[in-house]
Amino acid sequence: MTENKTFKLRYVGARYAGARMPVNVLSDLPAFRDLLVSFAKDEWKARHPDRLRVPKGFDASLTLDLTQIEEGSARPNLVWNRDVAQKALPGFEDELAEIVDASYTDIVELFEGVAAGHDIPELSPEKLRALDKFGASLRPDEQIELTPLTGDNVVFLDVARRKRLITSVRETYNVRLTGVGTLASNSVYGQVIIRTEHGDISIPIDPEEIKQDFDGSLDQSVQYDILVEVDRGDHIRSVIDVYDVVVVDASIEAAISRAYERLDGLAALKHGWLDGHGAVISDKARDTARSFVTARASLADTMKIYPNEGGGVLIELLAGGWDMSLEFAADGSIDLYGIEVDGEDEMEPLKFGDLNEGLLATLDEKVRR
Amino acid sequence: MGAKLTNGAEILFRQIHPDLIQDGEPSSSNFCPKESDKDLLSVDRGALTTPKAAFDLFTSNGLKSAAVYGVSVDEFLNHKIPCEEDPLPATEELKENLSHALAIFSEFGRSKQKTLAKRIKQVALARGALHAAPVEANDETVVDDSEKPVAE
Repeated sequence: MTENKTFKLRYVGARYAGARMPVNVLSDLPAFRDLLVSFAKDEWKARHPDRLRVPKGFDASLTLDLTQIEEGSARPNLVWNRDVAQKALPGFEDELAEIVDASYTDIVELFEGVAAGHDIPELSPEKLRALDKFGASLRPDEQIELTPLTGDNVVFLDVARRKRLITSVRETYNVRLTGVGTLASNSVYGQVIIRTEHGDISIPIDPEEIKQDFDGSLDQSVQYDILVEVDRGDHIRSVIDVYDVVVVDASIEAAISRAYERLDGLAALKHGWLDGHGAVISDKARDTARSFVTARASLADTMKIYPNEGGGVLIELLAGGWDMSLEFAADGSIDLYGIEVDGEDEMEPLKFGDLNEGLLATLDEKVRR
Repeated sequence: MGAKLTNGAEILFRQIHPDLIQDGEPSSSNFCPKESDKDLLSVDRGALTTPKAAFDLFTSNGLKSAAVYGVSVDEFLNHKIPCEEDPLPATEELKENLSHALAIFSEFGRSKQKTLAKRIKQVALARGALHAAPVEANDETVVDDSEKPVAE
């Protein structure tokens, strides 16, 4: 009897460290499922050339459940459940199991083809819709890895491959953009223009919301999270969806930028920077420290950032009456310790394997303000 | 072993590396012996030198400093860290430093040394920088260049 099937996507990038999945990336998972279903329909039709349509219950039989997110960086486990399939389409569960495998293999081969520079096969509108969502939140230094069912040649999708894949069959593709820009103008007719690193973006906003939240905020910092349609030249054609657009406290943004700049600056230190001692600061330590700054952005204005002799990064911050230190080692592990400023209490170093909820909760206990 | 320093008011000077200070605030690691230091923190004695002279000698040996901070013998002792004199003779690489001394952390393990370094940093910060490198030499540095008293 065929068992349940587990597909493990692997998200690689600093913000996925410690099995973290930012919530705005979770929309990839239903998109992956939609892509799988689309290929499954093709497989079904290929197996049943006498039938024009898939049977009733076919879609429901291909439900995927997110059962856990494993470490390394983040590996969401998507499980196809045989019992669910049996209830949705009784009598077909064995064939469905084969179809699910074949469809997953089709996806892997599609991504392999992009990687190898092969011609992209024709993609149905249903597949393009799924691909427009799957990986839309990827950043330039990130990728999603898929492991083939047989063999161990991992194939991955990154920003460049995703763009090549979609624009090979269509002129535009969708990308989720997040960042901070400046409010250039706002109109009572229902749009704001945000000046960003991608150029000026006109974003539709409810006129009442503009009145309440944007009036009088020209030139202020605006945090945005939007899905945009982009052409092959990376010019934004239109805004497809708006998840969040909000005027933010510019001082926090400035503090975050300063912290990022300081971390970037540490990359310039050469071996021997500490009077002949001092290792080159590792990318892993800087990336993990950067993720920490992002994870505790509200504390960014209190953070001081230094290199460590062993190639790590030291962040010190004063908050909630505590003077805390986080040592980000070259291997990505973190030591957390601190002292009560006006008291005797102190916390000797606690070691964490990576930036995880346990570390953040331990820190928050001390510095909550 | 050198003689114990017994004048609790004597200020001991610590050199701050330019990469270990941000916006005028040194890291606590400046006040913690490195693993290779074998639990001993190098300082210079306020009874025998000035912050500026200590800085000049240190940097003339090819070592980097952005600022000089001070911690008194008593402030070390409050945390059970004794200090002792450790004058250094001239070598082929380094000039003589008769004011050199050591703060001895050997009673404590590495973990405790780190939290102690944070306590020591607090008292050093409260006293403020006693000498800063010229601005053109380091943009990160802090205060005026004047001499401050070396004993309280």
